[in-house]
This record gives sequence, C-alpha cells and structure tokens, in this order.
Amino acid sequence: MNLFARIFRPSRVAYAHCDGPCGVYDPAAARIAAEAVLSMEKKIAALGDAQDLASINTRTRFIQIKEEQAELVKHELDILWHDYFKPEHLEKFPNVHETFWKAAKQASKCKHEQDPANGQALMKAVEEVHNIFWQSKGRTDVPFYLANP
Amino acid sequence: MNRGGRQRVATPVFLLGGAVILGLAGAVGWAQRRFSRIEVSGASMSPTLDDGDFVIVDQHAYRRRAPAIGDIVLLRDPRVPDRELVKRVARIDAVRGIWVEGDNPEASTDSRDFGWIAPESIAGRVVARYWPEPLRIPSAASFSSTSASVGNASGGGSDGST
Repeated sequence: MNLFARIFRPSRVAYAHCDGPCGVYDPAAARIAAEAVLSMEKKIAALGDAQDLASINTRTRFIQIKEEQAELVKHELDILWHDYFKPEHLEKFPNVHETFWKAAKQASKCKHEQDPANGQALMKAVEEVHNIFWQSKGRTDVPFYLANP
Repeated sequence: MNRGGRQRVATPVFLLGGAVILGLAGAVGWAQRRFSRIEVSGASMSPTLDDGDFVIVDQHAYRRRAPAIGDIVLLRDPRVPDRELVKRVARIDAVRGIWVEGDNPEASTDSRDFGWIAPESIAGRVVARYWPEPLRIPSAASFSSTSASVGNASGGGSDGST
C-alpha cells in the first residue's frame, strides 16, 4: 500500500462478502461417496453367505464403510442443497427439492439394505443432481465421469 | 496619511479573509458529513469492486430521490445491525422494498439469503472508487429512470408491483 493509500485509508469497512468459504461446490464429492457405497454393496454380494470368521469380519467392515459413505453422500448433497442452491435457482429448476429428496432417500435405502441395485439407483440420483447443478451454472463442459466404471 | 489609509483597508481584508476561512471550514465539514470513505471487504462485488478497494459513499444521495436499479449502495446488514454491506440494487418493489445482489453471485450473501430490505436501511450510494484505480460510478438513474436491468440484476425483474 503506498503512502497515498495509507493516509487516505478509510476507517469504515463495508462488506461485499459471502457467508461461507465461497464458490467451491461440486457434486463430484457426492458422486465419489456414492461410488464407494455401490462398490461395498458389490463386495458384500460377492461374499455371499460365507460364515467363517474372516468372512464375517470382512463383511462387517464392508457394511461399516457402506454406512459411512452413504452418510457422507447425504452430507455432501445437503451442502449443495442448502448452501449452494438459492431461491433464484428454484425459479428456473422447480424440481430441485424433489431431486435432492429422492437422492437422500436413496442414500438411506443403501444403509438399510445391501442390494447393489440400490447403489446403482443412488448413482442415477446423484447424476441428476450433477445435471441440475452444472445446468444452474450454465456449464455444459462437465461430464459425469466415474472413478470406477 | 499613508498609514491611516492602510488601516482603513486592513479591516475589511481581515473580515473578508475570516469569512472565507469560515466558509471553507463549513464546506469541508459539510463534505465530510455527506461523503464517507469506505473500505470494501470481500469479493462479492467483483469485478466492479474488489476486496480492499477504497470507495466514496454519498450519504445524501437518496434524500431527494429513491435508489435506482443498478445503483451500488451502502446498506445496513439486516441480520447484523452494526455491519454495513456493499451491494447492487437489483429490484425495487413498492410494497416489499429493495432487493440487492452482489455482482459476483457465487461469492455473495445478499437478498437471495436475507430477502427484501427496507429502503431506510440504505445509507448511501457508492459514487466512486479512489484507490487503487480511480473509477467514477455514476448513478444508474442517470441512464434510465425506472426499470432498467443493469449489471447483475437477475432475470425476471417484473415483480407485479403497483
């Protein structure tokens, strides 16, 4: 800051601000967690009915990770839903609430059960969120890609 | 003779000088009450105003006329009484009040969060930036009278007000 700026620096501050650490939102966070859920569901299915101690331990571990990741999906969806999306978006995308509600419900279903079909449906739901999100930003250059296709 | 003449002239000169000094002091005082220097904190008005810009606010700007869509205004934060915000007037509604938004909507907390604000909460208009790069910010009212959609004013605009 030069001398002029130092002398004439205002004592009064006005905020042109944003409440959060702004601007960095990406449904990819939810997608990664959803992929992990699906992956765990597949691994649990692959274990079948094996009842030996090692299999029981492994299954327990898979279930725990599935639970955590499904919870993470809901958390990441919530951040987009109530931090990113604003009333003006609702005017343009009236199905925002419906889309998030369905996705969160599907994440819950992934916790209750272990059928990989639930994980597939969750991925579909997250993809819908992805589509609305990037549409709301006017971006058409963001593909819905998978870490584990 | 000479000295007497000088004395006769001296009194009015002092009177006039005194009047000028008083007048200047008054003008400076008036200007200080009317114009306030403000430091902008945050990037929600980017690219028009950036974090750390110093601006001048005309606190009498809306004594004789109402804010216009497109004006950059200083306002009291409706949620934090002691805090002031800098935003742009995006919509005006006779019943609901004034809707403000940042020029950089993705990094702005504004009417989209806290809703319509009362016209009384507007403390003045940002008329210029003086540092780092001087910039005059004319009132949007000088371009068009009422429902211009300037800058970042988001779509819609017609609010069915009467």
